[in-house]
Amino acid sequence: MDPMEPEDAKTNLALLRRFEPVVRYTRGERFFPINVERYIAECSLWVQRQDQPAEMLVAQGELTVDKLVQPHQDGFGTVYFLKFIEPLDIRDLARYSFDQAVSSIRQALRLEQNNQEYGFHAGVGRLARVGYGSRFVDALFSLTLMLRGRVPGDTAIAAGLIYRSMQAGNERYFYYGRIVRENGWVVLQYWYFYPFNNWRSGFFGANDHEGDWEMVCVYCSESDSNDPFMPPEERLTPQWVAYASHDFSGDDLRRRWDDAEVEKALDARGNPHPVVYAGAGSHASYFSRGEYLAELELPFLMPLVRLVDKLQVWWVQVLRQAGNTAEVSKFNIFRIPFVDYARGDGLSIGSGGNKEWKPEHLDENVPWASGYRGLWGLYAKDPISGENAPAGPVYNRDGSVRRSWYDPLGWAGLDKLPPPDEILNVLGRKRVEILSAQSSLRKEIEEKSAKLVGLGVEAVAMQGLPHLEQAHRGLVEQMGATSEELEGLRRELTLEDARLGALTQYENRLQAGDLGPPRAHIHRAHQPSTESGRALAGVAEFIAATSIGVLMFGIVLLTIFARPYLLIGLAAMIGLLIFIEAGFRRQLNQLINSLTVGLAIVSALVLLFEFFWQIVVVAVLAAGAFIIWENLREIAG
Amino acid sequence: MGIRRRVKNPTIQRPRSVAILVILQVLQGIGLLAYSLYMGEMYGWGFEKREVQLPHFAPFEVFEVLSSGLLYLVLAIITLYIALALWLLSSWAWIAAMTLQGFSLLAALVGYLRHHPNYISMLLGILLVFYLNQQEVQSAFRRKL
Repeated sequence: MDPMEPEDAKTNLALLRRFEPVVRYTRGERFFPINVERYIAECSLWVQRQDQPAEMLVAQGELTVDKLVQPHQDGFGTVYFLKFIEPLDIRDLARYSFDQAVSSIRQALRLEQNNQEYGFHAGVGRLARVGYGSRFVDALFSLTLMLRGRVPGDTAIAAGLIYRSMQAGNERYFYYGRIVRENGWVVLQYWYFYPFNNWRSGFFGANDHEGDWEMVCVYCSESDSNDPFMPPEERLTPQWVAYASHDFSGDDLRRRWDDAEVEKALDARGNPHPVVYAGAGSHASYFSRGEYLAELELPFLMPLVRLVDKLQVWWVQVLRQAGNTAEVSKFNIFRIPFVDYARGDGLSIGSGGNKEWKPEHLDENVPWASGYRGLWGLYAKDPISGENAPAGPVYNRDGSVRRSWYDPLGWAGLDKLPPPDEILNVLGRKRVEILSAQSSLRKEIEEKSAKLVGLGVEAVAMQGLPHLEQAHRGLVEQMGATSEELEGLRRELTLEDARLGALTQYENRLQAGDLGPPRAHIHRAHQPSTESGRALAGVAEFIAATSIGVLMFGIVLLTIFARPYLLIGLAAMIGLLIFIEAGFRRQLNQLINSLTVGLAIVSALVLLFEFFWQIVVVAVLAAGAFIIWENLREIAG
Repeated sequence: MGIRRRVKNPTIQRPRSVAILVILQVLQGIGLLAYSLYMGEMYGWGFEKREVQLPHFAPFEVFEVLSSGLLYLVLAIITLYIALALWLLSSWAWIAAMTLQGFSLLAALVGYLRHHPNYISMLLGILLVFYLNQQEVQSAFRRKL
């Protein structure tokens, strides 16, 4: 592809500007989208070969885009990565801690109200929002952090210092915009690069990592107006938006432009821009402000996650027990819960916000995007990957191309839909197809029908003639096969009729301006915690935060001082904690239900264990009796 | 806590599961009643501790030390009262029945661990919990868990 002409670049920039999102951050956010070249200049380039120590290829201060994209050849399993942060020396660390303490005091005294970096207060903790099983798995997860690779503790502080120095005197906020035209859609893709993700260290989240890419897509239809004076950006009409987010893919990522969940901010000309609420530290994108429960799946617990999901579905659908199948994949005790704070009460960038965007064009000709397949920050050797930096906008961590890059429509499940203006044309084409298929079917039915009638008449004529018995048998077989074929064709014709009816109804609705319900395509959506769900007393949260730890202390004390009563003591402690917390959470009913169901399951297992063969015999007898009953009913009826 | 019929319409559709639930609950109540009469006749109606070998159909072995005809009579009356409330779809009946089954199953499991198994009580408890937790039963009582 040729490099873009200046005129094209200007047009593309205008298109991107027209619908650039407004991103609203949570108070306390420290890292915002920056310029990629500036980041590269602050990094060193490294390579990690299998079973070898990491090797520095280009030192910090010497790295340029040209050096970054130089091709390398290495064995399988080799990872190239940037390193943004060098460990802080004790003086920097002390100075940073002192500055932070002073700023916190000034905040508390309300002398520094406008500093958006401070003022974050955690809401009701994630542990208070979930059950005991999840809390126990979470405790194990926290312990694994000591064993697996992770970003060192003071890295976020150092990243904060460097980011601050990068912005000092030249404060700018960048996005990288890409335009893709496909299937009649114009896709405006906005990429944001953050120097650091401090979700774990800053906001009690799942991970920290250097470098963080986030993306938002706006899907527009383009009018084919003949007005030569109409600017290109005025020809676009936004139809859908999709935000990259934790745990979601396909249809669940996108919202229709007229969906009430898609908030819009108007610019000075009154043009609407989608509003994105960015998760604090994680920078994940949400449509509404709020606090979201994100769940992390650990690879080694996946079989258990799947088993619990299947049991939940069986419980609800087969046994018809109380529960909601839509919630099944949402809550599983083997997924670890974290809260993503997307409150939108901090810095706002974009139209009507505190800061303006600086757009940069992005396509496959941009060298740092397509020429570098490595990670955009430290490779922490974390097998779960949460602490490893991500790859760039074009690539996955393994160097393969991201789906959101090569298939931005399919990524959000939009590859099956044309732009609204096109739908009527598609409907027309489908109608012609169906009518043509129906015509062929009718012709075939006519032929087969005539053939069947001929066979029938011939068969009747042969009846009573012993010398034609074999021929008659052949005819009967032929008639059976033809009749079956005919039945299939007639069924197909009926189905085609129904399809045609559905198309006509849809066409009528479209012509009346009815696009259908805006959320019909969504299977599962992020919902922020409700106020009532979060309205827990402080004591309940305290209990939630300390319960597992207290239990562990209790086990040790019981083992030392009262070993014979270990089991009873443990059961009593668990019971007491559960009842106290359920009381504060006003969930005693739910608790009684869960406990009783648990006791019933244990009792059922006891009965199964004690009376296995008797149960098998009774089951066989019952099955036999049922079959006899059914057969007798058939004879009688 | 009086029994107040929530829906006065006589054409109310009571789910079949609720009817089965009530039958099971009545059976449990009758069992308790029979057992209380047996205990009362055999050992009197007081609360004094006795050394007794409980028959296998005793549903509340956790009260072994307090076993008396009167206690089981009270439990039988409560069970039958809850059965009536379930039949009338009283809103409190569901949680009361569930709590009762919780204690019943706990007592049965404790009895099992202490080598005094009560399998009939266990089976009845399992069936009652199964029906109490049915979607249509929960909808009928419109409980908010």
